[in-house]
Amino acid sequence: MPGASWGVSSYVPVPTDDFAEFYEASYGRVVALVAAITGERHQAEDIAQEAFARALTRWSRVARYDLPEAWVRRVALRLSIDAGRRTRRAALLSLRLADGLRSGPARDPLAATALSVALLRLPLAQRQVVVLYYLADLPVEEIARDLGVSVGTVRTRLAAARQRLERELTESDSSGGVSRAR
Amino acid sequence: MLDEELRAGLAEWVRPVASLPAPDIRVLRRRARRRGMRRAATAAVMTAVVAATAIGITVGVSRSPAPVAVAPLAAPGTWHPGRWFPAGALSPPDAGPAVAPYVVTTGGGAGRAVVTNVFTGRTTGTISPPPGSSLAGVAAAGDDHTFLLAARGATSVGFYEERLGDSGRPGPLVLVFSLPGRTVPWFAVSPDARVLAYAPADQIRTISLATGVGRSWTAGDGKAIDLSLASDGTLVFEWLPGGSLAHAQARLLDTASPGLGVARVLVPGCANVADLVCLPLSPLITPDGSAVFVTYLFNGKGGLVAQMQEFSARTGRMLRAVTPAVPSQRQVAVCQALWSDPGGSQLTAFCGRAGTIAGGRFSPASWQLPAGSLSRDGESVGW
Repeated sequence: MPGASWGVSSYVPVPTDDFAEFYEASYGRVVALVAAITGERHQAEDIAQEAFARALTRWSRVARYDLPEAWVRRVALRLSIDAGRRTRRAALLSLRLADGLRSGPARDPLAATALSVALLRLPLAQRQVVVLYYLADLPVEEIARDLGVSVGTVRTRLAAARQRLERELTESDSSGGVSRAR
Repeated sequence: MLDEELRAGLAEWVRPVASLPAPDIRVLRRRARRRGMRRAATAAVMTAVVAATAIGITVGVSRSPAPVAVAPLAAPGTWHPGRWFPAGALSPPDAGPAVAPYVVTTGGGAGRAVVTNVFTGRTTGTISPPPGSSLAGVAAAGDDHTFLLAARGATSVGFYEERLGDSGRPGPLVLVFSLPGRTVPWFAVSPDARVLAYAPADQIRTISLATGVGRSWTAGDGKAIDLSLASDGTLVFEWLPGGSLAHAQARLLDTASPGLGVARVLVPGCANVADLVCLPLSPLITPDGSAVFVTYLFNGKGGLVAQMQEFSARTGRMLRAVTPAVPSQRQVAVCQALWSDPGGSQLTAFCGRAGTIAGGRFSPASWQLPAGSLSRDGESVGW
């Protein structure tokens, strides 16, 4: 099944002129990437579809890139940053006195694990780096290109995130918190 | 060890999502088509603006992210000539403590509106809706006695002028303008009751109730809510890009100017600044157009706080903090401006309940606004 698995071995972007083939092969990876950043499934699907729709309208150009999936991924990353801001603010909007315009996407969070809880507590910039490095298995140079920052910044964020994750996961283990994913 | 654990843990966590089949490609085509249509619509508006400029119509485009530009739009609606009557004169600025004595609220039973004397808390009268309709919105003029009420009927929304007598007893409703449809738009009336401003869908419109002359503006890719109109034609509103409150801005539009139709950003949100929240909500302009009160939600020490602030309508600079910043969880302490005297020196507000604000202190009134009186369609409190 297209996009049926995630992992290092499955992350093999396939250059192709056929958008449908490209879309089916890479959709699951892009959704998973966004879901890991946002922690929500519906939102991740929405963002991924939007990114692919944008690729579709520019396919004659995007298809010529070495890695069209990298283009889609970057679009999805940008969209997930915007969506994160919207969601955060939407949660605050119930405070509004003239009510009735509360907004925000329907939430469908992924099942919580100790790791996911710790990951979602990271600042967005660190979370992105962790997901791109550990889940998408991208080299820091490519992460830097994706995020438009320097390689040094990626390394710094990665180190800080790793340190924080390690601390939180250790505390979670010792406090018998949410069961850890295996 | 942690690296391997992170790789395996993340892959396992998102596995249910990663295995999702890609939706039919037609879903993407529809999305792409919708975006294309939005772009085409935007381009059409801009083309109209440019064309109108070329033929000498005074139009303009906003320099802010989402333009609000005058456009030659044919606005539906029926003006009823010869019925409008002007509101009384505004009280002089700084005339001493003189809170407007009457508040009119809709949302009560049987589609009626209720007039309350704010000093005694007593009901001085009820306003019955025209047959077959219900009163669903109200805006106050500046003389403390004249109101504009919106009545939702079966196929249209009628705007009725109402003048209270000296004792607060309501007079007859006078139909001055009507719109097709059943949706009551957000609306405001000028202090002299001469101009009605309203915001249907993604537009802003004004109609002179005295002459029937109307103007329309597009609201860009957004929606204008919480309208408030000053004597000089300055309209302040909360602008929601994409209809979402998440990136709200307070904007000003000079509706009286024959020149540029530019909606100026008075209080920007901070949508492009990560990890910050700053939402200017529920703006109210003083009748003389000099200042705007905004309920401002922002990151403070220890979390999100809300504070009512006053801004200069001319320069956009913050003039003062009207209330202390309070944790936004304390909804009863978060204030929304409802009425100000001509110059903004006196203010009434809803802070969980209605009352007055002076010297940064809120004094609750002895009576309560009806539950749910702050609603999404139009305005349901006229003060």
